[in-house]
Amino acid sequence: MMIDARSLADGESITADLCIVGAGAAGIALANELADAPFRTVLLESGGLTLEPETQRLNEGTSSGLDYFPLVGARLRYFGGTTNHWGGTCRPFDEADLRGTEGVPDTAWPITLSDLAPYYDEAGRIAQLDSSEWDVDTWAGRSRFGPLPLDPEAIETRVALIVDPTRRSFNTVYADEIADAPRVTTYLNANVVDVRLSDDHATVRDLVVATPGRTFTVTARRFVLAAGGIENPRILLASNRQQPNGVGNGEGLVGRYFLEHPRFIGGIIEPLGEAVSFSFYEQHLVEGSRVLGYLALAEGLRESEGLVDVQMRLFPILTGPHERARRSAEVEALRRLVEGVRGGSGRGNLADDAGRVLDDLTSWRRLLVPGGGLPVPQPDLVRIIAEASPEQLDALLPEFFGDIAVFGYGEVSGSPPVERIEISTRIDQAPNPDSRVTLGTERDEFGMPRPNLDWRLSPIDRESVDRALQVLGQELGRTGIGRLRVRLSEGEGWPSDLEGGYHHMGTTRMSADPKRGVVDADCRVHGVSNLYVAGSSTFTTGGSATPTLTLIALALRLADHLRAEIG
Amino acid sequence: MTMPGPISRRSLLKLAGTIAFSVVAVGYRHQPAYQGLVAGRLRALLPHGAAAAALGTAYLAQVPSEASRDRLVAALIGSQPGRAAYDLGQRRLAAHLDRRIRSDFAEGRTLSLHGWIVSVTEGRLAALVAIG
Repeated sequence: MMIDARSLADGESITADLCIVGAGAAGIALANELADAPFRTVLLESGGLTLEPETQRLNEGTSSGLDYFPLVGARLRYFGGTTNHWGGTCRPFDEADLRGTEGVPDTAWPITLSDLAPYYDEAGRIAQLDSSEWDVDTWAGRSRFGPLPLDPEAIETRVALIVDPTRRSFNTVYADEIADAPRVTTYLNANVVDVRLSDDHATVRDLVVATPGRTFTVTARRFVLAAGGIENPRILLASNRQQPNGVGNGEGLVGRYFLEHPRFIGGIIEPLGEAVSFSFYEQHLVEGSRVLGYLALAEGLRESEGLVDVQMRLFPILTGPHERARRSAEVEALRRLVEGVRGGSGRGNLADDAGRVLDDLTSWRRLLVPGGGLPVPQPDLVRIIAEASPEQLDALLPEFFGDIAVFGYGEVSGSPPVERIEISTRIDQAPNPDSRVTLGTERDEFGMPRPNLDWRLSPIDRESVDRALQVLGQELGRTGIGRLRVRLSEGEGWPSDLEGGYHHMGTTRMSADPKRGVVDADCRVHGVSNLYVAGSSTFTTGGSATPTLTLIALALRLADHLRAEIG
Repeated sequence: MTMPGPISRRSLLKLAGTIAFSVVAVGYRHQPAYQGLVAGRLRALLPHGAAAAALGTAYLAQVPSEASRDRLVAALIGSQPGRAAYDLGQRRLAAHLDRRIRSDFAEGRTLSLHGWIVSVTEGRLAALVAIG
């Protein structure tokens, strides 16, 4: 059942066994998993079923550290949460992610891969992945492309799987299912503004929830905050009527250790010679799965040198007509059409797109004698094309064969000519206590202090990128594949294109030690026995992979725990 | 992305690619001043002189102790005497250097010149052009 909280009476009190705050990937995975449990679950969502600007403005906040995306758009406040603009990239964490790195403080998780592994396959199904295979060699064996012949002791290739764009939104996939779950009640437009504790502060008594014009309370046996890496600490910090530093913040750790996956163009590869295909490192379909290869500094080397994980995505820039074709309006129109046919949202105007595609696909007719009964080529045009220099051909190819044909040739041949490859470096940034979310001075319409993000990195982050690029450069030289040019010089600051991946992590970090983390290995807030946190804010480190699959796996693990606790 | 700097990508490719794939044939001549002649042949591997010189200048700024033609030639040719090196011919000289370059990369004998990660051998070759 779904209820618009704006229809509730002011001061109403709701009772449940479990209350989940936030209907994003973690909250929905949790509610979905517990839908068949013999207890009542309440799911509170700040927004509605669609994006509403007024609600979205509740996301406003400030930044005082490294440049960051405006907070208002860096997450989405409606059912499905940030999955509504998710890129769909998935890969599980590996053992090394959870083990941490010696010499890099605060990187060891209190759980191991064996705690998470049983949940990854189900997490993949919830995320709508078509496969749970992560082995590079297996994918290479099935794919028409292969990884670069680099020494795996120096640079390793990994694969990520990409969820089909039409199935990424948890709103699209799960709204009906959650609404139909008999023991799950979802309240939309319900904003938690206070976590109230028992007199001894050892448990949560209830939540105060605001909706325009009224407030109500939710009482439950267990509470889970699943509102994201910025909202989770914000709610805990703002709940400061009984404890001045906020709930669960006895050690002052709530909001600290904000992690991102910082990325920027770290360099370029100039290929030498021919016959080296980089296509494995572009998103490509293999037996129905979208596979994406990427490079990383090898685990052994990274650990021996005390570095953080650095991933390197390759973005081939093709020569002349191929690059233009790939970015052309015609190819984009074809993409939209395909998306529409496959049941996607169908952005843009279908008729315009169809017209553009048809026109492009029939552009070869310009080569023929006009008005002829048979398709007879115009000799002059054939001669012009045959005698054209490579530079002239750049312009002639799309003119007479169309961008879609040029693009299609590159895709089918699997080896469109590469001019250079841009390397996007992405860092598993080292935990930094000074990188943090705090309460700002402004308040939202419900009187909640808006968040301030002070995102910071550490010298080891930069050293790790420099080293990864150096090792990659050496490997490319050793194998004769090419030469690498590093973009930043030593001592130079972070580049202007440094940005995050919309991954908000670490702000209620997991540690067995209450002095080093906000939640324990069960995701329970230290010192508050019935309060849990779900989502990437519990991550001890950002990890070598994108966070969504792991935060879903953690939510499923928490579901098992709650099922046993609540009974 | 643009990366300003005195060494263009094309020049770098010439530097790396020419060494690896050079097939230029140079006739045999008896000359006693082998060091100078071999230096000339080595320079001839880098037809884009200005770009190579810029790279070489950067190399010498990092390794000023090698700012000598004879020292660079000796380092590039290794243990081979001048006459033998000259007798190699351009193709085999290029092949010899290509092996050294790959070996440099394999052994980590690399350095960064204007951002390019190049082998020490490539740096020395460019330095030879730089000192004229």
